[in-house]
Amino acid sequence: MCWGLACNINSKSGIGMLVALCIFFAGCKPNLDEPKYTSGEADFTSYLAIGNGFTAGYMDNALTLEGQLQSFPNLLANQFKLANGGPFKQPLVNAGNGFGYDFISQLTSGKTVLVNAINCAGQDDVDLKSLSVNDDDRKWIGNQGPFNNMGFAGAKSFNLYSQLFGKGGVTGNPFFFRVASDTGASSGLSSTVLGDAAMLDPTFFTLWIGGSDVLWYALAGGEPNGNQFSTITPVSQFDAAIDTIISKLTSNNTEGLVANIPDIEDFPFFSTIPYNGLILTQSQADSLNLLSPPGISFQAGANPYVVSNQGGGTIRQMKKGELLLLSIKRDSLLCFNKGTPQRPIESFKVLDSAEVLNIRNAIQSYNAKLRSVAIAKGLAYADMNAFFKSLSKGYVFNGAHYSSAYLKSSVFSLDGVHPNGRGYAIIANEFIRSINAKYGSNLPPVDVNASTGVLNP
Amino acid sequence: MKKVLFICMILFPLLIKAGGYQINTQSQKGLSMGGSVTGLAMDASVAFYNPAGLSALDSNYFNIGACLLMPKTAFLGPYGGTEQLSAKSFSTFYLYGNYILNSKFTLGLSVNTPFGLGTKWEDNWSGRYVTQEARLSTLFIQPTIAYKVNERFSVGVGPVIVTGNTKFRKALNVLNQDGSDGQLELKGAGNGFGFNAGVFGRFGKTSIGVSYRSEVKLDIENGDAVFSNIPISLIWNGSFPNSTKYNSSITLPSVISLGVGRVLSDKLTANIDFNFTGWSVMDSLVFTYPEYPELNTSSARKLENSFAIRFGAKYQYSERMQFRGGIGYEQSPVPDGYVNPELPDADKVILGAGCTYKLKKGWSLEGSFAFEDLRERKEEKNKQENINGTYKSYIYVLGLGVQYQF
Repeated sequence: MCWGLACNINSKSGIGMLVALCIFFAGCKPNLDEPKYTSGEADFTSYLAIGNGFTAGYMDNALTLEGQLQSFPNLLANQFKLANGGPFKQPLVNAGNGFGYDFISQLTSGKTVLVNAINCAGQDDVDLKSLSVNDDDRKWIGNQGPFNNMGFAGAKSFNLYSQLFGKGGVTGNPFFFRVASDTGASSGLSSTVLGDAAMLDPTFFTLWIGGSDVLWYALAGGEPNGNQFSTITPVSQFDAAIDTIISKLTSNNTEGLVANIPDIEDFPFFSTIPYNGLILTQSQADSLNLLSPPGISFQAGANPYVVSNQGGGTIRQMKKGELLLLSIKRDSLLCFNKGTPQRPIESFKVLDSAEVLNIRNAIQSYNAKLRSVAIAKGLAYADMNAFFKSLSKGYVFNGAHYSSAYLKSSVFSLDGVHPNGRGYAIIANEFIRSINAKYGSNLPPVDVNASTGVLNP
Repeated sequence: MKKVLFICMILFPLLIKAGGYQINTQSQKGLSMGGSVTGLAMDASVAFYNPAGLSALDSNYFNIGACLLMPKTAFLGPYGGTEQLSAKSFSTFYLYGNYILNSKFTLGLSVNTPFGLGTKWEDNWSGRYVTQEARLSTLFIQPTIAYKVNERFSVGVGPVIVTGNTKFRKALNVLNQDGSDGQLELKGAGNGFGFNAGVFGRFGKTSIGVSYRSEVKLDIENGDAVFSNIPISLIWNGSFPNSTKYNSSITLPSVISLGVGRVLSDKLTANIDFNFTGWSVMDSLVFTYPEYPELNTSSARKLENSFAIRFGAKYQYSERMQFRGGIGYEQSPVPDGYVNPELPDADKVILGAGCTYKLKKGWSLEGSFAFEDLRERKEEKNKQENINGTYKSYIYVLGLGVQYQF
C-alpha cells in the first residue's frame, strides 16, 4: 500500500513533509482484502448436478445457452472454484433460441420472448412469441461427456435410472437423448442418467428432483386422460426411486445437497389468473343472471369464473383455492366472455379442489421423503418449498425488488414455471447458504443482479 | 519565503467532514485545527462557528477560500470483488467578513457550504439499483450581529438562509431486451431557513464558546425526474413516464457546540471542542411523484444523533508564520442496518494541519490539508435495500484561503 511505499523514504529532516506528500500526491485508495474461501468438510473437486429442468437452467420454455450459463449449478460451480472446486462441464447448446416445449402454446419451439402488441381491447400490451428451433441443438453430443450438469427438463424421479429415458422418439426425453453416452441405437440398451453421471466420480452432488413428478399432472389440469406421463408419481414409487438414486449417489460416502419441491401455487403459471377474475358491472351481472342455470349467479364486481365440470356437460362457478392455468388465452378472458356460462373454461385448464389437494399431498409426501433421506445420509437440505413461499412476499437484493408474480420484476421466466437468470441466482444463494451451514464452508453468494431477468420490449 | 510557502501548503491544517453529510471545511483555520474552533475567535469565520465570538475580534477581517474534497471509498460485496467509488471530488467555498460598528456591536457575514455530499460509483456496479451518484450542495448565507454584554461576555445571533441542490441517479430494475437497465435521474433545488446563535466568554487566558445552529429543512418541490432507457412497452402501458416532477425534502441537522480555548504561551494556543449533531431528524428519504404516485419511494435512513470531539492548536512560529494542527473523532450518525453506498459513513478520525503566512498590508495566505480515516465498516443486514458489504473510506481535503485584516 502507498503508506508503506512512499513513507519508506526516510529522511531525518523531511519525514513530515514526505508523509504529507505521500498522502497528497499518492491519493491512496483504500483497500479491502477478500476473505479466504474454504470448502470446509466438503470436496467440490467433481461436482455433479442432477435433476430436472430447474437444474438444467431451463427458462422461457426452452433449453438455451444463456439459460445453461446462468443455471444454478453453473453459478454454484463458479463459487466452488473459489475453494477446491474443479471444472464444470455442461452439455451446452448453441447460442440462439435453443429448443423446448412451450407450456403456454403447448407446442415444441425455441425460447419464448416478449413482444409489443395491441390487445383485443385495442390497448397497448405485450404478448409472448415463440422463436424457431435450431435443429442442430437437438443433435447427439453424448460422445463429448461426461457432463457435470445432468439436469433434464421433464425428468421425473424414476426417469433417472430408466433406460427408456435416453432413447429417442416418443418414449425418451429429447434433452437426455442428446447427452446420453449410449442412446441404444446399436446395442438396444441405452444409458441412464445415473449411470452416465457415475462416470464423473462425483465428490459432491446436488439433487433436486420431484417437481416434474407432479408438474405434468398440473399442466394437464389434473386430467391425464390415459396419458401415463401426465399422472402424479405415486408416493410409494417416488420413495423407492429416491432410495435408489440416493444409495447410488452416496455409494462412496459422497457429500451433497438435497432440495425439496416448491408448491405449484407459488409458480406464476398457476397463480397469475385469479379464480374470481370476472369483473362485471351491475348491468352485465344482471344480464348474465338472466341466462344462467340455477346455482350460478353474478353480482357487480369480482366474480368467480365459470368452468366446465370434468367430462363436460355441466358447468359451475369456481371456488377459492382452485387454480387456473396460464395457458388460458388471455384475449378470450379479456374480450370474448371466456369464463361466463356461454363460454365456460375447459376443465383441463382448471385445477379443482380435489386436484389441488392431490398435488399438495404428493408434494408434502415427497418432501417428507427428501428430508428424511437428507437427514439419514447426513446431507445438506435446502427447503426450497419454504423459500419459494417467502419469494411471494417479495425479495430485495442490492436495491432491486423482485416478485414471484408473472412478468415485471419477476424471478420467473416467461414460461411461468422455471426461474429466469436472477431467479436461478437467488436459488444458487439459497443452496450456498445451506451448503455453508452443513459443511462449514464459507462460499460467498453470487451477485443476483449480474444475471438476466425479465426482458421487456 | 518560497520554501516556507511550500511547507505551508503541504503541512496544512486539519479537516473536513463531521459525520453524515456535514462538512468541516468552513475555514482554513477550522480545517487545520480538526474543526476545533468554537472556543476561539481567530478571524471572521467565527461568525459561522460562534456568532458571539465576533465581539472578541479586535480588528476587521475578510476571509475567502475554497476546499477540494476527495473521498475514496472501497466496497467489498459479499460476492467478492472490490469496487471503488469512482473519482468524484467536490469543492466547497466560504466567504466571511466582520465590521466593528462600535464598542458594543460587531456586524458579520457568513457565506459557506456546511453540508454536502458527493458520491459516484461506476454506472454498472453491483449496487447500481441503490445508487450510481448522489450529490447534495448547499449554500448558507448568514448576516450576523454580536453584542458585547460586558468585558467578559458577548452574545451573537444571525438568521440563516439556505439554498440547496440535489442530484440522485440510479439504475432501475426494469430490463430492456438487450439486458440493459432503466435509469432514473432526480434533480431538484430547495430553500430553507434557520438561525445561528452563540455565547462567548473570556476569563483571562481561557475562552469559552457555546453555539447552536438550528436545523434547516430544505423542501425540494417540482424537481425534475427523468426516466431513461425504459422499455417502450412500460411507457406505453403507463408504468413509467419519460419525465415527471417530484417532491422531496432533506433536513440539515442542528449542531450544538461547546469549545474551550486556552492561551498556553505567547506562541501557543489550544482549543477543545465538543459537538452534538441532531441527525435523528433524518429518519427517511422520501420521493413523491404527484402524477405517478405508484412510483413513490420512502427509504428509511434512521440517522442517529452523533457526537464529535476535536482538539486543535495554533503556534505562532514567527511574526509572519502561524502553524496549526488538530485531531478530531466523529461518531457516525448511520446506524447498523442502514449503511448505504450513497453515504458510506463510519466513525472517523480526522487529522488536520495548516498555516497562515502574513504578507504585506494586512493580507495573509492560508493553506490547509486534512485527512479523514473512516473505520472499516461491515454491513451484514441492510434493512432497506439489502445491500451488504464492507466499506473503507479515506477523505483528503485540500484548502486555500486569503485573509485581509483592516
